[in-house]
Amino acid sequence: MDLLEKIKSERAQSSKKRPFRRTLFDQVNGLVRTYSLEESFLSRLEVPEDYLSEAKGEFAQLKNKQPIEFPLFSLSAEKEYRLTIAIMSKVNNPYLKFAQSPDEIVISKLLFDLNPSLGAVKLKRYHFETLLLCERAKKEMEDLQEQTKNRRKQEGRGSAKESLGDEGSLPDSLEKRIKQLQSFVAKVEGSQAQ
Amino acid sequence: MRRLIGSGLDFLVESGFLYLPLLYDPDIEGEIREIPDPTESQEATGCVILNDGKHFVKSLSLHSLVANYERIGKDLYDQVRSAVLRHVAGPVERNETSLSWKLITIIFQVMPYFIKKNRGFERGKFGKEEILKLIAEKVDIQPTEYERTNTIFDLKPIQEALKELEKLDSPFKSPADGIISSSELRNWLQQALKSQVIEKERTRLNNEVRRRKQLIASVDEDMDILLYVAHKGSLEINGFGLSRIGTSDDYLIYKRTGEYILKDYYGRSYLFPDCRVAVPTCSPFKPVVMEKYKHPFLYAHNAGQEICMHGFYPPQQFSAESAVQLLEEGINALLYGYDARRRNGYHSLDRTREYVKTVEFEDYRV
Repeated sequence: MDLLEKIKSERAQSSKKRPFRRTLFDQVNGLVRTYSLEESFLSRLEVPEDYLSEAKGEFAQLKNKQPIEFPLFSLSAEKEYRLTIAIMSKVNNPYLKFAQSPDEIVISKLLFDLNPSLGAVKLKRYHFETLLLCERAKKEMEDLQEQTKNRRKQEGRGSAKESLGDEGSLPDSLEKRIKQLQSFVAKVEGSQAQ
Repeated sequence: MRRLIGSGLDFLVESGFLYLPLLYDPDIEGEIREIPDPTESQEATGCVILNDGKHFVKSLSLHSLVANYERIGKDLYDQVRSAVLRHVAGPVERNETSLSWKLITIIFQVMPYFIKKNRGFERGKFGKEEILKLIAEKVDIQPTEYERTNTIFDLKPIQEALKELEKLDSPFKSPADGIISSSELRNWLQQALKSQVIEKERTRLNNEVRRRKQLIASVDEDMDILLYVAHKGSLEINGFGLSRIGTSDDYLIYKRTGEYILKDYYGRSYLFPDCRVAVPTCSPFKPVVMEKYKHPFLYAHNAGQEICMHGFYPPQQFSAESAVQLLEEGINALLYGYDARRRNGYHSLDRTREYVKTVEFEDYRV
């Protein structure tokens, strides 16, 4: 490429329209203003609560995000500005820009710790609570499968007679739980594939 | 502005300007940090002031805010205005029920346009004195003492209103420099608007007094003629006339068309009788035919019908110019608007092939 072509291509690239994108500040500030968040919200971020411990057993429903229209740019009062900056510094993870509610801001930290490689499409589509449940379900499934394996190993060491009679059979509750977890993960992954 | 004064925020007043709490984003914060001494920022930039640890940014001139509030916050302005006028408008509004500016406008501005001197070489419009003389000639005026109260010649109510305004008067003062709450700002704004309304109303009434005095001086001895017309409520001279609508201060101003001929598609003539084309002095300002009348531009064969005028936008306010224009438009539409080739209007003069019986003009054929 000679100099003339190089200059031409550089000019063509620089004159291209670049889409206006909202910054992370605009989005977090939008949440602060929409939900009228106050400084007390920061205390929720300081204590890493086990947010979904109570809801652990319920994988019935997929929770979708609440649609919210963020402003193109934000100008806010000093109090809101300081709170926005504080949230951004405390929740310093790439999932924050996908949060669309205060709950999601809180969960984003836990979710990122659990799985830092979730794709943008998934993060845009599902409420972080659902994604967190999904990650936990996967982890629990792994644990249960590990337990099953160990159990079978132990049973293999036992008498041949016993092992022949009970081969492949697991306690009902364990089997039910694995199926429940599998179906939930399949729901999230399946609808994701659609 | 209404949101601002109802916001519950604290503002800052400095040298006649309103300073609002500074709004932040990362760029603005960066700029604020770059100011070495925030207390001196006002001197340097004139825009941002640090007061009690908070930044305020320069926004509106309070004087300008008050001067233009009529346009930007009409609700509050009207509220204040009606509160002020409630004290003074009573006597003024009672005035002008029989002889008003509307009647004066019709007699001295509209009438001379339609009644012109036409004696030999003498042409041109009538002046005030000439119009009054013409009325005196044409109308038999009884030598009666007409009451001047409730007429435009009665200055007493306006003078009373001016005295009331003197009592209400409160001079305009800018609020003291320093922090001001939104409720304090609202109260101050109301006071400032009040004094502005009083000043405007006083100027208006003084002008009105001056105008009326000029009128009284100019009509002087012939005042009784105007009072007679106002008392009677109707007048007709040389095909031009006026007629009061009910007991209100509004009139129908009319002009007679005289007989005229229109031709149909085949060139046959139709002789239309005389009618009065009128325009009211109140909305809707549209020309109507006063008599029971039929015409291709009238929907039916009734009295008081609006004349169909395509693409004509009536004026919004009564004035001599608009009344003259409307009367001319109405008369022109009747006399010259019908196009025999296009058969425009609601009806055609001749029976068309796709004839639907509506209004017929066979009886007008000559």
